[in-house]
Amino acid sequence: MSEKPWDGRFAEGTDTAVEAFTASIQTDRRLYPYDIEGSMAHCRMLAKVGVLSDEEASQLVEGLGRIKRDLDSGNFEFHDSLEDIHMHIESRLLQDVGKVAQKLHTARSRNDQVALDTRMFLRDAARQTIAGLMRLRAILVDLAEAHLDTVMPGYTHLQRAQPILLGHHWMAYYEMFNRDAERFTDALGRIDVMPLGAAALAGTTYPIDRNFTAELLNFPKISANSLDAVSDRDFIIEFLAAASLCMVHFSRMSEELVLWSSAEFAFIELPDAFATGSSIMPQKKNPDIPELVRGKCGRVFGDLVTLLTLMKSLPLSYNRDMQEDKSPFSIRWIPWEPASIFSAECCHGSRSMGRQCEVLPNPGLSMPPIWPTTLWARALPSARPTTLSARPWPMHWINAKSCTI
Amino acid sequence: LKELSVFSKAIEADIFDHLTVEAMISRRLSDGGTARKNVRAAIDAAKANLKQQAVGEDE
Repeated sequence: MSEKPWDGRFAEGTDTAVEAFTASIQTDRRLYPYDIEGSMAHCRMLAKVGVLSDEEASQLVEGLGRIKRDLDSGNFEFHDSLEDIHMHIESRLLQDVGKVAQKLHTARSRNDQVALDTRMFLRDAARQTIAGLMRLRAILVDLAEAHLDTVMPGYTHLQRAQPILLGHHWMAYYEMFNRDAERFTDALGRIDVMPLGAAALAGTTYPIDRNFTAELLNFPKISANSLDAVSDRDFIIEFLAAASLCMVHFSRMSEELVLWSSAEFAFIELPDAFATGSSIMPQKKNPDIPELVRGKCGRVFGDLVTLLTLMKSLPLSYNRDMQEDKSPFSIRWIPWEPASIFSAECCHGSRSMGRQCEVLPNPGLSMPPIWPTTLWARALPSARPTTLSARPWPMHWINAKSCTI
Repeated sequence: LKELSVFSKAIEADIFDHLTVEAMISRRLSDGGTARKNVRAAIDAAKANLKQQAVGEDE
């Protein structure tokens, strides 16, 4: 059991089972680079307004730098008794630079500190996602261009409907991922707001300069209301909503890659690097990657529902429930990873598809879809294929169609 | 043609010009349709969009 910030108030120590239950260090440890960067900026701001001397500030900033290096190199032990990443860093700083470490917490609370860390984390995550989506979109455009002459069956109800260009199909995904990028960009505008200075909930009596801290940390603006600043989690929910939709799009694309690589469709053969095999069934080439991307949706949708449920009905301002908002960070996976995997996969996979598709279309055996256009062209606006063909279609047309286009 | 004209008298010999995969695609010229010309335009627009965003990132 270690020292607690509230030791003077309580006569008894914390139960060890309670320590394990309340600890969040296993998830929020990923926030350490942001926690340290935020603390350094806070120190510099405190020195600027005269709350810390320049010497104290440099001692703290240098100490934080050493802790960062230890964390980077894995030379750092984590314990449940120290609850979260903020207390771990603070405790190490105390050992490193002595009593002056306690001054770091002047005009700051863990409530506004964790809001800052989370915003910085998601700001990076959103930017990386947008960059990943941009690479994917560029690849889809290249693929579309390469397949301007490749004809494939277009489907509705998973039934062959009308012939389309494969390039048109790829551009449909381009549109989806374009909207995703727009959503992440829009969410970024609301993530990128600096909350530090809200303190526990009501602001601070110290003469701090919040705009200076924001400038040091490259935030374009500061939060307007301290209660909102420590209890707003909208930005996480928006991020996860955008991520969920993005995953829906990945899952649709994955589903098609799985279908198309089956012996039944045989449109594409996945590159070896993105498939697995079986020792007893040598005919198989399993599309594990698209399958798994499809499967990963559950985690992202789950995170969105977790956050929505967590925030529902919470009174202002900070509540301990909010510690559970870190689930997006507890998993190693966020959508930009499959975005980059997909980029490569699409490139490799679709080359073989191009060859496959070129031999598919067979003129003359594509009767049904052409009926309406041809007859419309004949100025018979009310004509419908069904009304025209009061008699049954010759079966050999239908059978022929079903085995060609 | 005999087989086809059972369905409508409006069907004449030129129907065979329309009954090709190429015609089915190239005639779908409505905005956003699958005609090659449209897909080409969509690709060009997307390229311009990506280029503009890449410039935005550099700034």
